[in-house]
Amino acid sequence: MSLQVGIPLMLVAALLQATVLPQITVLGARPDLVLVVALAWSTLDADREGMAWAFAGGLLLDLLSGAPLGLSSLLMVPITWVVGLSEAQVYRDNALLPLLLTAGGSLAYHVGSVLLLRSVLGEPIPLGEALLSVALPSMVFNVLLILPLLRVLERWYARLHPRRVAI
Amino acid sequence: MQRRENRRLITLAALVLIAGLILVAGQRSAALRPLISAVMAPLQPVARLLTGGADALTADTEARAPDYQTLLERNRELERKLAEIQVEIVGLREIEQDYYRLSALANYLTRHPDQSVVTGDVIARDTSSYLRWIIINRGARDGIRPGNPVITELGLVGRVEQIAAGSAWIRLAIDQGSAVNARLQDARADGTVTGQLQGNLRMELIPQAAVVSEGDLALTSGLGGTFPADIVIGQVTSVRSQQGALFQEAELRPIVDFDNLELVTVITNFTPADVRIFEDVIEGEGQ
Repeated sequence: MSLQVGIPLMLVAALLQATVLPQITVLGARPDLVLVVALAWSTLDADREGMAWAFAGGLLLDLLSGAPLGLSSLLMVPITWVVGLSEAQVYRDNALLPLLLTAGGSLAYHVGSVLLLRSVLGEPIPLGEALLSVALPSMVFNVLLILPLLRVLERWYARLHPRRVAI
Repeated sequence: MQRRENRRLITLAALVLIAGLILVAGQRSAALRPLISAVMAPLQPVARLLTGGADALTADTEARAPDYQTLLERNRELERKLAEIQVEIVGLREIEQDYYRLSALANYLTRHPDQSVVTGDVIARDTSSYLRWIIINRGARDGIRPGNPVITELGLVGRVEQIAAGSAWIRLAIDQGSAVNARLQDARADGTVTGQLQGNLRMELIPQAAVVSEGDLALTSGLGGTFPADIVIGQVTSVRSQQGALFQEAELRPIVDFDNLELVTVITNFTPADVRIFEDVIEGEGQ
């Protein structure tokens, strides 16, 4: 059931990331919408759904990129696995946690992207400059995006996973 | 709890393995190309709609806002009619812009009758923050091949890197991995124009003896056979020359507005020189 929602949602997010978001860059950076959606779902769902969403979203991102197919999934799946280790309950008790996880996840994603693009495609991307001018501003964008997104996705999650009460 | 963690670990391993296999398979063979073509076909119209909508929105938001404020003060009927007219005007402006672009393109093509071209709409920009590529709604079935140069009426856009049946992935000249052999029009000096992470252009390997001045135009030199000669790339904004260095560098301002590309032209009858034979020789010598 979750994938029936997750794949269309990731498709919309990937399309927005390839069409609308490049028009609204600030300081040369833009939010990684697909990554943030996957991180948000992994924060809510301590099981495997976030990883599946990240895998599908990564493939869709690479279809709309010059990056080789599979690269984004390869990075996003382990990141969402780590994020999923934190229980949803922990997130509810500590509002800072999703912000920290998003900051860490974004940084890992950007460093991984640069390293893989350099090794797989041979792109001459300088890591230091990439971190300062792209990764850090994008990380700030992603952190700002995660809380409103969590509020929306929380409602969806509650609908998809109604709590069972023993009578 | 432990069982769930094991399940998650197995899922992680499986998904990473599949992603890795896709990555390797895509790099080594063209087996995934039909699949990519099949997936891209339904995405194209939606992406084009979103790209066009975003462009129109950014262009017309300022123009629309004061009208809307005024209309709120007037009656509803006038508001509705004005809104209809505005929608019509937005459409007409788009057509007007297309007309100007196409007539400029027609002028360019009249000056280059030997070039066979295909014009395509930009449907998406790269989702990676580190790559500056675009995707257009023309591909292999329109005669586009990897290596074909891409231009607008103003100058060089880049070159085709990957193709599917109905789409092509274009590496822009401002991409980090782009290198174009160029010549400065006034200084008559050769060099290489490379893209930078911030989306600007830099001309490197300019001989120290050359007198480079601000405003000089950099054109493709045609050396190396990767691009036709005399396509405008950019204009010199500053020059960096160090004593004792063999070469000087110049920062260029791109002539093409890479942030607002909507319509590009692919030169389909230009085949880049195949330099792989030299790579084979170098590899052979290395063994």
